[in-house]
Amino acid sequence: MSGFGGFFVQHASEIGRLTLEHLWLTVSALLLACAIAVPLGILMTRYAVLAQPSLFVANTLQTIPSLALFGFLLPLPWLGERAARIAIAALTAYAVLPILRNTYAGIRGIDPALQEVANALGMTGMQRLRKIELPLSSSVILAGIRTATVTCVGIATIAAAVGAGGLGEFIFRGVASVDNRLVLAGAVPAALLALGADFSLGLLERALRVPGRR
Amino acid sequence: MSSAPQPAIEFRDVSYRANGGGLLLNAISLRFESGTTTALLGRSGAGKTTLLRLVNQLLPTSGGKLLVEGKDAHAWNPVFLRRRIGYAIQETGLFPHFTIARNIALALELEGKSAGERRARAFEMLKMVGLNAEYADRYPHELSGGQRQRAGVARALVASPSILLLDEPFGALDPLTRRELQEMTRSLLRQLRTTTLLVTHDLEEALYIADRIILLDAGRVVADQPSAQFRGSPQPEVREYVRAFRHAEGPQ
Repeated sequence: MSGFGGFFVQHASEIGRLTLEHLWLTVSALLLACAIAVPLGILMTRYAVLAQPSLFVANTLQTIPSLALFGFLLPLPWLGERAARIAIAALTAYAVLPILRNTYAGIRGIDPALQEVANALGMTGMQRLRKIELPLSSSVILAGIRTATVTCVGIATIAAAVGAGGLGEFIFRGVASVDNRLVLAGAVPAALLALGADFSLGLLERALRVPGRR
Repeated sequence: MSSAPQPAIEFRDVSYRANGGGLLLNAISLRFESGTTTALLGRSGAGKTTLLRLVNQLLPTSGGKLLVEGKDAHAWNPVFLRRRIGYAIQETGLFPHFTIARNIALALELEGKSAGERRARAFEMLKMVGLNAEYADRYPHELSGGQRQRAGVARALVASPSILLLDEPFGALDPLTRRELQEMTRSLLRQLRTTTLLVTHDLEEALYIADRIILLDAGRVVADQPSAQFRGSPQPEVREYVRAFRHAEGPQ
């Protein structure tokens, strides 16, 4: 075991750099996914025809094995320099579903009597969204973002397969050279990132929960 | 037309058909004069709530003509129409993430009134419905059912609407609290002269609060009488309802 400690210290700066890269990939993908999934989820509650097709596409994207998706991306001729961007796009595809599903379910799950009262008070659609629907569904939406985050942190390790960097680099190098220390140098920080994100978003989710919401 | 003043609400041969379903309201013709309180009685599914929801266009009429303050309900911008109409329902529908004061003053917030004005008016309303000012900054789940219902009535009245729709507002309360709220509502309505439609199952409540009682059955008006004469009405449908109610209440 003493070997590991020494190894970590020795590679501290590289671990730091790759962790930052990993974070960059994950956070960018999550922001993009939120920018797509939250508005789309809201639209789905307004136009029922959108709901099934959107969820179907998001579900299908989710079922593609991540290694296979990144494998498909490998032959892209312009990969090299843009690897990180392509990896972010792929990660976004995985992050959309949980956020989309929770946005839709979160708003749909609001007591219909409250929606009706909002209308009866003379709220416009936008006022209802801003004052009632988003605040009342924020903890559910955040739960979706939390799931997406944990998934993304994990899948981002595979982004190294297309040269996008991140903690996966250690893992792939470790696997290639049969060096468990290298694998752990990637896996342990990645696991810690996932746990940390899960924990802090969990706290936020609890803070946003509305007491007495039916 | 006669020279009688324009009614606040007028139904002319109005029907409502649920999406692809049967007729829930069938050829309803009614006038509701300004400043009167009318109770809509009838069994579940008779169409009471449907009738109420047509007035503020939560539901669209399927046939006939519905005039609100002289203007075709469909011609109103629904947002503006609804802001003129107070609305309170069973279990209040108070928003759980807003304080009581914010819930009460919501109609003013939507109209863009200043925070100071909203707050002052919220306190006025709290007093009017007999709630202590200390409840202003609490959340709905911190209040009792009766207190929430009072806040619900306050919210419905905050913008001094010309029309008030009450859909079984006291249905979920214990008998004592219910009685208190009936008394409060009755005296408020006498004082404010807001044109009010009250949906209820409760004959005593209808007799106590309303000037006029309309009995609905299967989407039709089967009786329409001043409250004072309702109990003594010889009409078979009314007698049946009164008898059933007495039976349900038990011997006095």
